[in-house]
Amino acid sequence: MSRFDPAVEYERGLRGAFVDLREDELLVDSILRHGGDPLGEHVASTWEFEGLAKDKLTATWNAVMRVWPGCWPGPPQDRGDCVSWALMRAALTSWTCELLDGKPDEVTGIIEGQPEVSPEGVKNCVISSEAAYWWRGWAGDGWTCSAAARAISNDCGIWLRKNYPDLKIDLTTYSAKTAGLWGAKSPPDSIREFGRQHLVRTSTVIKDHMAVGDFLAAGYGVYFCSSLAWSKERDDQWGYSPTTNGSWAHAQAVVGWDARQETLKKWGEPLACILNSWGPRWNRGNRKVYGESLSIPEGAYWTKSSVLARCQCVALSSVAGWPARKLPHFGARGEI
Amino acid sequence: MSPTVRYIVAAALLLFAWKGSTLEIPWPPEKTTIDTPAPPRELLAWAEQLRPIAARMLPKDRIYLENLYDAMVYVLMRDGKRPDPIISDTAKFVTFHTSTLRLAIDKESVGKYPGLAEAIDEVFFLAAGPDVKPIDTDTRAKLIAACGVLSWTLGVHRDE
Repeated sequence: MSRFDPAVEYERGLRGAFVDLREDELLVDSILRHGGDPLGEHVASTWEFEGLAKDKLTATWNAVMRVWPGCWPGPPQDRGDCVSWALMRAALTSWTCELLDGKPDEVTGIIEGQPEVSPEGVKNCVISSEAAYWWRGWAGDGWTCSAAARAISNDCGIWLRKNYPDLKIDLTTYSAKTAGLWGAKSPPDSIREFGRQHLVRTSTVIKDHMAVGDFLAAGYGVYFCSSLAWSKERDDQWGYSPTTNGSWAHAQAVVGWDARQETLKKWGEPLACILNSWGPRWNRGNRKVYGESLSIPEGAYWTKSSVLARCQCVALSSVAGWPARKLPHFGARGEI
Repeated sequence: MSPTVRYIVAAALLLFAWKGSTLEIPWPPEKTTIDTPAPPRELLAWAEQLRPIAARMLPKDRIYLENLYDAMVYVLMRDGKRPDPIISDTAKFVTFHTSTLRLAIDKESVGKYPGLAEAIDEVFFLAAGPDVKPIDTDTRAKLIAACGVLSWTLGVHRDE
């Protein structure tokens, strides 16, 4: 049994996420080189989803968990690899929303489907965080949100939680040891080649925190790095957790947005639903969404959206997914 | 003769007088059928598996399904005319077909004709293939043709 308690370690100053201005520049450069737009607000406006989150509850976590029941919160992280956890939660959001959308992939023209993932793999969040962490560039713990976004769009892609016997790696369940496999030097070409099959196409940096809700409403996952800390208690009515005076050098994912009128009336601004990677028991309190029968995942909490203005937020676009499985029947079986 | 019967006889006499001396209602009734053209032979081949099963079905069930798949032809055609078709890929078609049957067929009647479901699905597989794919003009035409083949083959006496 691991003695790593992430809540304790981050409180003590573990640096899981940090800022590196050079990495920020490299991300912008990479986005531009691949034809993307590094300015999130501009993306929302250009692609006409600005304001999409207005006046409603965006329960993105619910959409993901309908496709992958039980996928969140997953096990607690067992080392300082929070950035890769947050990154993969955002990637799972973008990819799953694409699956639900059902439209052909904009690059390949193929309708993508939901591949088989074992129940164990789903319980460990469907896609591997370790496969991203291999690209952090040094042997120790900690990464930047920018470098992670660059890695998932250029090198690591998304890896399903399953065994890869040809590569001699089993990613079915989360392992801190597997997460630490590379780092100081890049993974071998065989790993890069595999990862490149399922890259996230592009990413963007969101400076205006209000745009985060619009990205979620449009089906794009968002994650962030910050030095903010939050209370372990969710309030009784809203599942709300305020920030505290503490400090966590930490990354988390945004998985919901509440901009309903009653929320604005109570809080003066939308609430953002944050999903932490410390397992289901690091916090406690009400999880039911105010006025709804829905609940947020264990380990998640609502917080004021304005705190995201103090975070570095990154949104991920669509993913080069998997081709849809063949139709097993054409609808008559079992109906006539 | 009661007053009511007198009125009926009077009405009948007036009818004969007005229409002439001969009654133009054929007796015995002639067999009148309104029929649609058969699909091409190569498309009817999709229903090879269905034909013997249809031959064993009750006429009322055949007519019911004939009309159902005839209606599906029109739904698919109309959907194709929309600027943004609702049934935009084959997976959505499966959902549409499943839901239609679920609403149209009594639960107690499911399985009444062994092999019928598989034979119906086979027609669509032969028409459109097993891949989940967008419904372009060609695929839509094939699905419409498949519904037409089903409607024709299920029609009474059409299995002969």
